[in-house]
Amino acid sequence: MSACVAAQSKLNIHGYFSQAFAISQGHQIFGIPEQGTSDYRTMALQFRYDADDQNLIIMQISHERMGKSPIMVLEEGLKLDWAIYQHSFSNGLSFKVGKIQIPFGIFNEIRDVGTLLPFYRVPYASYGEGNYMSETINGISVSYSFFSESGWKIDFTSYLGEWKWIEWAARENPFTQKLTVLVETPQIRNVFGGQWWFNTPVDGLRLGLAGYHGDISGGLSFSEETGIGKENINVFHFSVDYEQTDFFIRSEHTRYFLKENDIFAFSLYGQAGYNIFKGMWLNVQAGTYKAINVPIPLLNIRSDIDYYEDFALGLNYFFSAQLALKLETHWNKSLIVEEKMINFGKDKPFGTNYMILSLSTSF
Amino acid sequence: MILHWSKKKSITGNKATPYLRSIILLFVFYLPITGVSQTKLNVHGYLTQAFAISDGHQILGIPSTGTSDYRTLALQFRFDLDEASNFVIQLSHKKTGKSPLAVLEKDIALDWAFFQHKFSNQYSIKVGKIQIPFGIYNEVRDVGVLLPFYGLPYAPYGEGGYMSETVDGLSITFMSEDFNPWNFEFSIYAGHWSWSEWFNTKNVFSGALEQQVGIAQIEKGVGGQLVLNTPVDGLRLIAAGQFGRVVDGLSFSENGILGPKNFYDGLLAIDADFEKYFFRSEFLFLALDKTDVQVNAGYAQAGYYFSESFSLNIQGEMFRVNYLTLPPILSKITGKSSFSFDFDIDYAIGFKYNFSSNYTLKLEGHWNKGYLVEEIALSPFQEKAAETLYSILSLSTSF
Repeated sequence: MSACVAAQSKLNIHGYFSQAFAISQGHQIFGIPEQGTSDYRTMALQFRYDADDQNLIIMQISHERMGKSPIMVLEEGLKLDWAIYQHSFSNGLSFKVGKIQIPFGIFNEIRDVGTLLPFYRVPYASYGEGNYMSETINGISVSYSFFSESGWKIDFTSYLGEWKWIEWAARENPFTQKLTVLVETPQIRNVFGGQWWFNTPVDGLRLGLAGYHGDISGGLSFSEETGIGKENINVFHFSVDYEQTDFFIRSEHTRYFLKENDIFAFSLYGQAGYNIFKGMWLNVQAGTYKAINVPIPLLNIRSDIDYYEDFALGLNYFFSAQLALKLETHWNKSLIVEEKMINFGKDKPFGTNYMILSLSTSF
Repeated sequence: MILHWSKKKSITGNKATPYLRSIILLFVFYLPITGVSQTKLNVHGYLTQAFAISDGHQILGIPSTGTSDYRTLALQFRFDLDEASNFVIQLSHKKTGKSPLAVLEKDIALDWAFFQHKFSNQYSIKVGKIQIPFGIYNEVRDVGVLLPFYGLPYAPYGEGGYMSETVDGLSITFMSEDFNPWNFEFSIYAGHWSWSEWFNTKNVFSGALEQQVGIAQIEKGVGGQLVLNTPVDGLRLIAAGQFGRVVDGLSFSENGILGPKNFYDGLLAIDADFEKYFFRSEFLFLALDKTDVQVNAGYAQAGYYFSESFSLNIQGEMFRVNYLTLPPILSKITGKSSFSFDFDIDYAIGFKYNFSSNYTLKLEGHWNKGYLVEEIALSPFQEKAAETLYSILSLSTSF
């Protein structure tokens, strides 16, 4: 009985859930069709077991639906988000091993927590949707906080391991004009990365610096047959996060370098929110993603590509800290529309407006 | 649009990694023993394990060699945010032997995930992946200890085909006791759901069996149900209906035999559950817009309680398809444009023994005549219905 009671108090279960209705005008984007969809949802269930003061096991399973998105072909009904063993030493050093969250920027470790996000999803510029950034790494991470007593506390995490991206592309059969969507997963191996957070003496203001290096291969873009072949990728990420009781301002900038093919890309977004009255927040966001010197084999040229621009306006109402209703609208110009084949180097970004109404809860 | 997943990822269904399955199942047995440390969280589970065998044809995944790969498991987490709001997640695992629909089954699936808020004792709303209120059994499909037989009547509940357990959307429920001793519960819902389809055909060159499985999508679906509780204790009447647009899958894709269609259906049910016996019957009518195709499906079920523990149950069901469009070549030969037939007729008898309120043993036998057989391609246009006997022995538990 005492063992059962002890076991009972050490296991905690948390859940996060967001259900949305989304509709677009112009093109299908992020799985949102012009006729609208309620097949749009994220759910996570987290099991946390505190074995003792120093040892912790966390498992999170998740479920996501993204309407008619091409990446739904890879979506399991339920998937293992993380499976982590964490040990903390008495001097403040800790390590995690398993399928662990990647510390990268403001939002990467809280992607599923709808009640914490200003919009339904994290900013595509910097975080992608399964591409160009992963939520987790199969590997190990080590964390330590420096100068904890001073006004400049520094949190540092370093990690090693590997992960996958998701890539998709629509291709038109030249004989039938029927669209075929190809979905692949490039692998990123031998990854070494880290995240620094500088917590400043100004209350609510922190500065972040992150980055990683790895070898990427396979998929659509990095296979020998269909893409540019294996690559060496270096990514640098800068964050500014200023949060007060009634407003917040955030901005993140990411730079990608593909060494072998001399390709460079960058993304930037800015986000701000204001507490209009108790429970009600007005949020705005703007983001952009551009790739430089991209080879276009069909045209035998290299080109700069304006890949993505998005401006968003949203209203959030918090019934409580655990329940939020969000209404957001986006004006988007990009090459990630999903119902047509994109001719890189020739097509200009396509304009799409889309709206999302969502309810988020957590326990 | 055609989707290609060019890695060797099978279209035979996505499976969670083995260790995910093991961890989930571990919690099924761990949680009721140790509980959880949060007082507002309730965890419930339902498990039914069966052995099933048929006498010749394979039907509902049951082969003539028998199978114990026949199981339903559900784990439900309910968190009470406050007195009026709760959040419910139900995970499930289902095995249906050699059923063609097994390719669509995930090792662990999300059954429901919804947020519920009660505005008052009368009004409540659910948002998320929610159970569809439709008939007597649609919302309790997984609770083996409550069901008279292992599975629900095929007519009208199907096996994921032409009836869905859940809708991605929202529902609003209104309950009233103003007309005491009558009271009623009315629900409306809207959103998206899906139907499963499978067909057996013969390869025209080799004659080999080809099994096709698809998922049709119901877009802009709307439905409602009225449950009327009568002054007679244990007697209630139910009326339900749905409307929506069905696309994709095998029948309703642009190149399918029927193409995208609007559909509407209606259901009437009577549920009489008394101290010594019960009687239930449901009738479904389904029609497709701009066609003559109709489905009439229904069953009657009765049971006698010899004691608190032991009951004898019987059931008869019928699923009839009317005015199904004939393929052009057959239309030319027969001179008819459409065809009506009994897709499924089933009679069942079963014994149910309750060791306790959450531990039940069932033994049932079914005589079936129809086109549900799975190891051959049986054409209702050209061939007679197949007769099959099958039996299921099952143990159900809940916590």
